[in-house]
Amino acid sequence: MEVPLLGYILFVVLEITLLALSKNYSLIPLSIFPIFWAGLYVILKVSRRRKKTEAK
Amino acid sequence: MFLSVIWHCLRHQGKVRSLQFFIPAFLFPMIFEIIGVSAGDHVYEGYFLYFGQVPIAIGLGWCFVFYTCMFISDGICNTKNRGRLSPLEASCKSYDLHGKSLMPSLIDALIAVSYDLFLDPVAVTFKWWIWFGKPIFMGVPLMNFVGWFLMVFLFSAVFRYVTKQRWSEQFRTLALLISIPILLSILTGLMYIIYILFT
Repeated sequence: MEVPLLGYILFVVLEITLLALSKNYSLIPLSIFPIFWAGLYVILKVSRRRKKTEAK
Repeated sequence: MFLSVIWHCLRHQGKVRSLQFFIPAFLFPMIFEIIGVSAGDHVYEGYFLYFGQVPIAIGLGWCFVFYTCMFISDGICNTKNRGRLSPLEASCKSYDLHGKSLMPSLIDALIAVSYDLFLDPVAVTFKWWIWFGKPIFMGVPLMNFVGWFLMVFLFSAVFRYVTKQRWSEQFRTLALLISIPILLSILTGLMYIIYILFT
Protein backbone atom coordinates (compact mmCIF):
# COMPACT_ATOMS: atom_id res chain seq x y z
CA MET A 1 0.00 0.00 0.00
CA GLU A 2 1.24 3.50 -0.80
CA VAL A 3 2.66 5.61 2.03
CA PRO A 4 0.24 8.62 1.92
CA LEU A 5 -2.81 6.34 1.93
CA LEU A 6 -1.30 4.31 4.75
CA GLY A 7 -0.67 7.51 6.74
CA TYR A 8 -4.23 8.66 6.10
CA ILE A 9 -5.70 5.34 7.29
CA LEU A 10 -3.29 5.17 10.23
CA PHE A 11 -4.40 8.60 11.43
CA VAL A 12 -8.07 7.58 11.29
CA VAL A 13 -7.27 4.34 13.15
CA LEU A 14 -5.34 6.35 15.76
CA GLU A 15 -8.35 8.59 16.36
CA ILE A 16 -10.70 5.58 16.61
CA THR A 17 -8.33 4.03 19.17
CA LEU A 18 -8.26 7.26 21.20
CA LEU A 19 -12.06 7.41 21.13
CA ALA A 20 -12.36 3.77 22.16
CA LEU A 21 -9.84 4.19 25.00
CA SER A 22 -11.70 7.23 26.33
CA LYS A 23 -15.05 5.45 25.89
CA ASN A 24 -16.44 8.05 23.43
CA TYR A 25 -18.06 5.34 21.31
CA SER A 26 -20.71 7.67 19.83
CA LEU A 27 -18.12 9.45 17.64
CA ILE A 28 -16.62 6.28 16.12
CA PRO A 29 -19.31 5.90 13.37
CA LEU A 30 -18.18 9.29 11.98
CA SER A 31 -15.00 7.59 10.78
CA ILE A 32 -17.08 6.31 7.86
CA PHE A 33 -16.56 9.70 6.13
CA PRO A 34 -12.76 9.48 5.71
CA ILE A 35 -12.84 5.68 5.30
CA PHE A 36 -15.23 6.04 2.33
CA TRP A 37 -12.58 7.80 0.21
CA ALA A 38 -9.80 5.42 1.18
CA GLY A 39 -12.12 2.51 0.34
CA LEU A 40 -13.06 4.04 -3.02
CA TYR A 41 -9.37 4.52 -3.82
CA VAL A 42 -8.52 0.90 -2.99
CA ILE A 43 -11.55 -0.51 -4.89
CA LEU A 44 -10.74 1.51 -8.03
CA LYS A 45 -7.05 0.55 -7.89
CA VAL A 46 -7.86 -3.14 -7.50
CA SER A 47 -10.41 -3.11 -10.33
CA ARG A 48 -7.96 -1.30 -12.65
CA ARG A 49 -5.21 -3.79 -11.82
CA ARG A 50 -7.62 -6.67 -12.51
CA LYS A 51 -8.60 -5.16 -15.86
CA LYS A 52 -4.94 -4.77 -16.80
CA THR A 53 -4.13 -8.40 -15.97
CA GLU A 54 -7.19 -9.58 -17.89
CA ALA A 55 -6.15 -7.50 -20.93
CA LYS A 56 -2.69 -9.11 -20.87
CA MET B 1 2.82 11.28 9.43
CA PHE B 2 4.30 14.51 8.11
CA LEU B 3 7.73 12.95 7.60
CA SER B 4 6.17 10.05 5.71
CA VAL B 5 4.55 12.36 3.14
CA ILE B 6 7.78 14.39 2.79
CA TRP B 7 9.68 11.18 2.15
CA HIS B 8 7.07 10.06 -0.40
CA CYS B 9 7.08 13.42 -2.17
CA LEU B 10 10.91 13.58 -2.31
CA ARG B 11 11.04 10.06 -3.71
CA HIS B 12 8.35 10.48 -6.35
CA GLN B 13 8.44 14.19 -7.21
CA GLY B 14 12.01 15.27 -6.46
CA LYS B 15 13.45 18.08 -4.32
CA VAL B 16 12.21 21.04 -6.36
CA ARG B 17 8.58 19.87 -6.60
CA SER B 18 8.61 18.94 -2.90
CA LEU B 19 9.73 22.46 -1.95
CA GLN B 20 7.18 23.95 -4.36
CA PHE B 21 4.49 21.92 -2.61
CA PHE B 22 5.41 22.03 1.08
CA ILE B 23 6.38 25.71 1.45
CA PRO B 24 2.99 27.07 0.24
CA ALA B 25 1.17 24.10 1.85
CA PHE B 26 2.65 25.17 5.20
CA LEU B 27 2.49 28.98 4.89
CA PHE B 28 -0.99 29.34 3.35
CA PRO B 29 -2.97 27.52 6.10
CA MET B 30 -0.68 28.81 8.87
CA ILE B 31 -1.34 32.45 7.97
CA PHE B 32 -5.05 31.73 7.56
CA GLU B 33 -5.11 30.00 10.97
CA ILE B 34 -3.38 33.04 12.50
CA ILE B 35 -6.12 35.25 10.98
CA GLY B 36 -8.77 32.87 12.41
CA VAL B 37 -7.25 32.82 15.89
CA SER B 38 -6.80 36.63 15.88
CA ALA B 39 -10.45 37.01 14.86
CA GLY B 40 -11.44 34.96 17.93
CA ASP B 41 -12.73 31.99 15.94
CA HIS B 42 -10.85 29.32 17.84
CA VAL B 43 -7.84 28.82 20.08
CA TYR B 44 -5.00 26.31 20.43
CA GLU B 45 -3.76 25.54 23.93
CA GLY B 46 -1.02 23.39 25.35
CA TYR B 47 1.14 22.85 22.25
CA PHE B 48 4.93 22.89 22.25
CA LEU B 49 6.07 25.24 19.47
CA TYR B 50 4.02 28.21 18.19
CA PHE B 51 4.21 30.48 15.11
CA GLY B 52 2.13 33.49 16.12
CA GLN B 53 -0.71 31.94 18.13
CA VAL B 54 -0.83 28.80 16.00
CA PRO B 55 1.18 25.64 16.77
CA ILE B 56 3.72 24.55 14.13
CA ALA B 57 2.15 21.07 14.37
CA ILE B 58 -1.06 22.48 12.84
CA GLY B 59 0.83 23.74 9.77
CA LEU B 60 2.56 20.38 9.38
CA GLY B 61 -0.83 18.68 9.77
CA TRP B 62 -2.20 20.81 6.95
CA CYS B 63 0.71 19.73 4.69
CA PHE B 64 -0.25 16.13 5.47
CA VAL B 65 -3.94 16.82 4.70
CA PHE B 66 -3.17 18.59 1.39
CA TYR B 67 -0.78 15.88 0.24
CA THR B 68 -2.91 12.86 1.16
CA CYS B 69 -6.11 14.39 -0.25
CA MET B 70 -4.38 15.19 -3.55
CA PHE B 71 -2.79 11.75 -3.62
CA ILE B 72 -6.14 9.97 -3.06
CA SER B 73 -7.99 12.11 -5.63
CA ASP B 74 -5.22 11.48 -8.21
CA GLY B 75 -5.76 7.76 -7.62
CA ILE B 76 -9.55 8.07 -7.87
CA CYS B 77 -9.43 10.24 -11.01
CA ASN B 78 -6.71 8.04 -12.50
CA THR B 79 -5.32 11.01 -14.40
CA LYS B 80 -2.39 9.04 -15.82
CA ASN B 81 -4.60 6.55 -17.64
CA ARG B 82 -5.31 7.47 -21.24
CA GLY B 83 -7.16 4.28 -22.19
CA ARG B 84 -10.85 3.52 -21.57
CA LEU B 85 -12.08 5.81 -18.83
CA SER B 86 -15.01 5.71 -16.42
CA PRO B 87 -17.28 8.83 -16.33
CA LEU B 88 -15.45 10.07 -13.23
CA GLU B 89 -12.06 9.57 -14.81
CA ALA B 90 -13.23 11.20 -18.05
CA SER B 91 -14.32 14.31 -16.18
CA CYS B 92 -10.85 14.54 -14.67
CA LYS B 93 -9.04 13.83 -17.94
CA SER B 94 -8.92 17.44 -19.10
CA TYR B 95 -6.80 18.22 -16.01
CA ASP B 96 -4.20 15.82 -17.29
CA LEU B 97 -4.12 17.46 -20.71
CA HIS B 98 -4.49 21.16 -20.07
CA GLY B 99 -4.23 21.65 -16.32
CA LYS B 100 -7.51 23.57 -16.34
CA SER B 101 -10.16 21.18 -14.99
CA LEU B 102 -11.36 21.91 -11.48
CA MET B 103 -12.73 18.38 -10.97
CA PRO B 104 -9.65 16.94 -9.16
CA SER B 105 -9.56 20.01 -6.90
CA LEU B 106 -13.25 19.59 -6.14
CA ILE B 107 -12.63 15.95 -5.19
CA ASP B 108 -9.64 17.06 -3.05
CA ALA B 109 -11.91 19.47 -1.18
CA LEU B 110 -14.63 16.82 -0.71
CA ILE B 111 -12.08 14.33 0.66
CA ALA B 112 -10.75 16.99 3.05
CA VAL B 113 -14.23 17.93 4.33
CA SER B 114 -15.11 14.22 4.78
CA TYR B 115 -11.88 13.81 6.73
CA ASP B 116 -12.72 16.83 8.88
CA LEU B 117 -16.25 15.56 9.61
CA PHE B 118 -14.44 12.96 11.73
CA LEU B 119 -11.33 14.90 12.80
CA ASP B 120 -12.95 18.03 14.21
CA PRO B 121 -15.50 16.34 16.53
CA VAL B 122 -12.62 14.22 17.88
CA ALA B 123 -10.46 17.34 18.30
CA VAL B 124 -13.28 19.12 20.14
CA THR B 125 -13.76 16.08 22.42
CA PHE B 126 -10.06 15.94 23.34
CA LYS B 127 -9.71 19.77 23.38
CA TRP B 128 -6.94 19.82 20.74
CA TRP B 129 -8.52 23.18 19.85
CA ILE B 130 -11.55 25.09 21.15
CA TRP B 131 -14.23 26.67 18.94
CA PHE B 132 -16.11 29.84 19.91
CA GLY B 133 -18.62 29.96 17.03
CA LYS B 134 -22.18 28.60 17.07
CA PRO B 135 -21.87 24.81 16.61
CA ILE B 136 -23.83 23.04 13.87
CA PHE B 137 -22.27 19.56 13.92
CA MET B 138 -20.88 17.82 17.03
CA GLY B 139 -19.65 21.07 18.56
CA VAL B 140 -18.09 22.35 15.33
CA PRO B 141 -19.27 25.59 13.63
CA LEU B 142 -20.30 25.75 9.96
CA MET B 143 -17.47 28.14 9.05
CA ASN B 144 -14.90 25.45 9.90
CA PHE B 145 -16.21 23.11 7.20
CA VAL B 146 -16.57 26.00 4.73
CA GLY B 147 -12.97 26.96 5.53
CA TRP B 148 -11.69 23.42 4.97
CA PHE B 149 -13.52 23.13 1.66
CA LEU B 150 -12.39 26.49 0.30
CA MET B 151 -8.81 26.24 1.56
CA VAL B 152 -8.16 22.80 0.04
CA PHE B 153 -10.04 23.64 -3.17
CA LEU B 154 -8.16 26.92 -3.76
CA PHE B 155 -4.74 25.52 -2.88
CA SER B 156 -5.22 22.41 -4.98
CA ALA B 157 -6.59 24.31 -7.98
CA VAL B 158 -3.65 26.73 -8.01
CA PHE B 159 -1.00 24.07 -7.35
CA ARG B 160 -2.37 21.72 -10.02
CA TYR B 161 -2.66 24.57 -12.53
CA VAL B 162 0.82 26.00 -11.92
CA THR B 163 2.61 22.63 -11.95
CA LYS B 164 0.98 21.66 -15.27
CA GLN B 165 2.18 24.78 -17.09
CA ARG B 166 5.26 24.74 -19.28
CA TRP B 167 7.05 27.33 -17.18
CA SER B 168 10.56 27.19 -15.77
CA GLU B 169 10.90 25.78 -12.23
CA GLN B 170 11.93 29.23 -10.90
CA PHE B 171 8.83 30.84 -12.42
CA ARG B 172 6.60 28.08 -11.03
CA THR B 173 8.08 28.57 -7.54
CA LEU B 174 7.61 32.32 -7.83
CA ALA B 175 4.02 31.88 -9.05
CA LEU B 176 3.20 29.57 -6.13
CA LEU B 177 4.73 31.96 -3.58
CA ILE B 178 2.95 34.98 -5.09
CA SER B 179 -0.32 33.01 -5.06
CA ILE B 180 -0.24 32.73 -1.22
CA PRO B 181 -1.31 36.34 -0.41
CA ILE B 182 -3.75 36.31 -3.35
CA LEU B 183 -5.34 33.05 -2.14
CA LEU B 184 -5.47 34.38 1.42
CA SER B 185 -7.33 37.51 0.25
CA ILE B 186 -9.80 35.45 -1.82
CA LEU B 187 -10.33 32.96 1.02
CA THR B 188 -10.82 35.63 3.69
CA GLY B 189 -13.22 37.53 1.42
CA LEU B 190 -15.26 34.42 0.61
CA MET B 191 -15.37 33.36 4.26
CA TYR B 192 -16.58 36.82 5.26
CA ILE B 193 -19.35 36.81 2.62
CA ILE B 194 -20.48 33.28 3.66
CA TYR B 195 -20.34 34.27 7.34
CA ILE B 196 -22.57 37.32 6.66
CA LEU B 197 -25.02 35.25 4.57
CA PHE B 198 -25.37 32.15 6.75
CA THR B 199 -24.81 33.15 10.37
